[in-house]
Amino acid sequence: MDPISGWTPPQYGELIATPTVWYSTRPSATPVTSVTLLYPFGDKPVDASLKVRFGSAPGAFDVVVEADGTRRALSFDLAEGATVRSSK
Amino acid sequence: MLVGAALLAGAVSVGALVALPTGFQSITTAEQLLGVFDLARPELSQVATLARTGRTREALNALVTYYKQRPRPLPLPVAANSNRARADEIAAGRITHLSGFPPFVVKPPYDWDADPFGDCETTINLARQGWVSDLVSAYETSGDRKYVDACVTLLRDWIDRSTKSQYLQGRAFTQSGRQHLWMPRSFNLNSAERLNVPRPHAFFALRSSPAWSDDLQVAMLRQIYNQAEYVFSTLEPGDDRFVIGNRALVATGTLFPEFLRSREWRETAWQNLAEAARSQFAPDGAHVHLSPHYQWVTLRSLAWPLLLQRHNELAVERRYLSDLERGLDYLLSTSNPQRGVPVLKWSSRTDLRPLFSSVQELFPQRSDFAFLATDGRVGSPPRYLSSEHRFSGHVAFRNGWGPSATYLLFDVGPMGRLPHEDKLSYQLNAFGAYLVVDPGRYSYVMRPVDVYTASSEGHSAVLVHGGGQDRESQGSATRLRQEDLGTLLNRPSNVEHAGGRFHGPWKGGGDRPLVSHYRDMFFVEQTFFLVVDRLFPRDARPHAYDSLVQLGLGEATISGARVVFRSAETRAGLVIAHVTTGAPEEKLRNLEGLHGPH
Repeated sequence: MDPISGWTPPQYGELIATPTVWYSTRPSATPVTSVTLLYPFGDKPVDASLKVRFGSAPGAFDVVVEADGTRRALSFDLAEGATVRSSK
Repeated sequence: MLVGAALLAGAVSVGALVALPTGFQSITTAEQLLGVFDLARPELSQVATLARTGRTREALNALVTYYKQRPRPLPLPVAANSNRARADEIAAGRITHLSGFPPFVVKPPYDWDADPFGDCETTINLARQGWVSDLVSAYETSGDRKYVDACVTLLRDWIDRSTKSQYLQGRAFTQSGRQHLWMPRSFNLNSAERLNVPRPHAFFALRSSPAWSDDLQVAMLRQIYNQAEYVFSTLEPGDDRFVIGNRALVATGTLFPEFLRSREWRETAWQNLAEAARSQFAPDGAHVHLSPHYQWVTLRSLAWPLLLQRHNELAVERRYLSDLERGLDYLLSTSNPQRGVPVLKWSSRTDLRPLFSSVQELFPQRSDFAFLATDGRVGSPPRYLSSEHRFSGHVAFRNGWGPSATYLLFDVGPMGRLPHEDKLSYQLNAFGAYLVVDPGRYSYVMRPVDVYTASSEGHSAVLVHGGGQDRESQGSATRLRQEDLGTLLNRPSNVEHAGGRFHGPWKGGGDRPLVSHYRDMFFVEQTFFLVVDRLFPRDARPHAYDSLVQLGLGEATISGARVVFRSAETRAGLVIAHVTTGAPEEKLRNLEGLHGPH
């Protein structure tokens, strides 16, 4: 059965239903890595997308975020600390 | 000694369950009341003369006359946000008190045990008597006698009949569950809350009203004395309650210096407040609860006595000003663009502006405090943007100090005293909206929904086999550890980064999964966030994971692995996209309003 989910109390004693997004995986015995993009927008909704290419080394991956025609490419290496650099 | 909580009403009751300190004796007679005043004070010479000759009634009248004319000291004005509509409701017999609950009817005979919503906070708030101040404020602004009449009627009933209350006699406690752990301690807090605002507010503001009778003023003086003695005798160091109790002692000792005990109340309380300010706040300014709402509660109570001194042109106590400022700095640097606290642990959307407005006179040099208090109309914003708090483990990312700024609070720290299983969770505000939310608290009753708001399932966290974190099982020694977590916020290139680790325990009883969760948060070009989760099984068993994103009030539309959320609060929203490797993904779900709230 699904658990209690999707409730927010904006103040004491008041409860409202709110969306809760569940990203779920099936069982795996190997390490699992996920990347989640959170792209806020104001008046005008943004057309944002995420592409990730995971490398062979643990903690290494490339990310491309495109939003309204702007492309940002970043390379991450989280094996020791966090290294981030812009990539082409 | 086991007697009733009769001191709360100034009469004696026998056979109840609330333990009073040994030797505590509440005063009940007119002679006893006169005996607790320093009648050697020149201003009370007439009272003294009458009391010495056994003319007790006349001595009390002289005492009341003295208080009717005494120019100072006077209580701090009650904030103008006390609204008339609330007072009208109360005057009509409908008590309004808790924010999310509707008014409920309280008519004679008054039920001081009223619990119409199955939430003991209702009964507690009746006992704290915030409704007195609502009525008094309405009278002060309107001069309408109906508010005084209602106040007199309710207070008289309280004084005469509250000793019959099951709650106030300690008979309403459950012997299981969490409530009984803290409800008895709430007696100290209830008395302190009455002494802090409603009682002195009513006593001085209504003293010239014809409806405010002399005998009621005498009863009030007796209760004020008894309650201060009770608070003094039952102080319990540790958290916000201790600060609130000592605030009450400073307030009472300052406003009623004529009591023989006032000097001791004040001197002890100032020392306690200084010690609490030093010990309850970590070097990064975070309060021991790690619950920003209760940090606000504590700081407000630390500031109040200082403001009371200023209001009465007394020398301001300085021994904990720097600790107070450190705590305020934490609230400033973690404040969200709505000028509220981050909604962590037992927090709600507490507005920080009134507090920062009130402390401006204590810290006139802090233009950034003025900035927060006035929404930027006065003062200047802090010189920094994102900030780290190395003891609380709270990292606040932000791209500005305006109301539309993008802000994310990332919690990589210890649990603190209010157990929420929320390590590595985050909350995101931008463009004036609450986009990703922390539930904070619903109530203290511990219904299933309260368990939910304290659990990982209620946070933007990761679950293993449907189970969340279980730090509470490690006991308080681990939860309360205060240590320097080192540098948390890094700025490689145009990306800000913070990371945290959770190695368990996860829920699962004897079959707990052994999994380490690494979460790294990247704020890219001060525009968007990337959340990187890495899950490492340490037990060679297959594990299923759920990664939750708790959205605010609004609508979420799912398209493939992408979610577009549109806030119902402002014209703002959030695009969420997600990519996983290492395990097959289930279909993305939006589980909204499931199995609740009761």
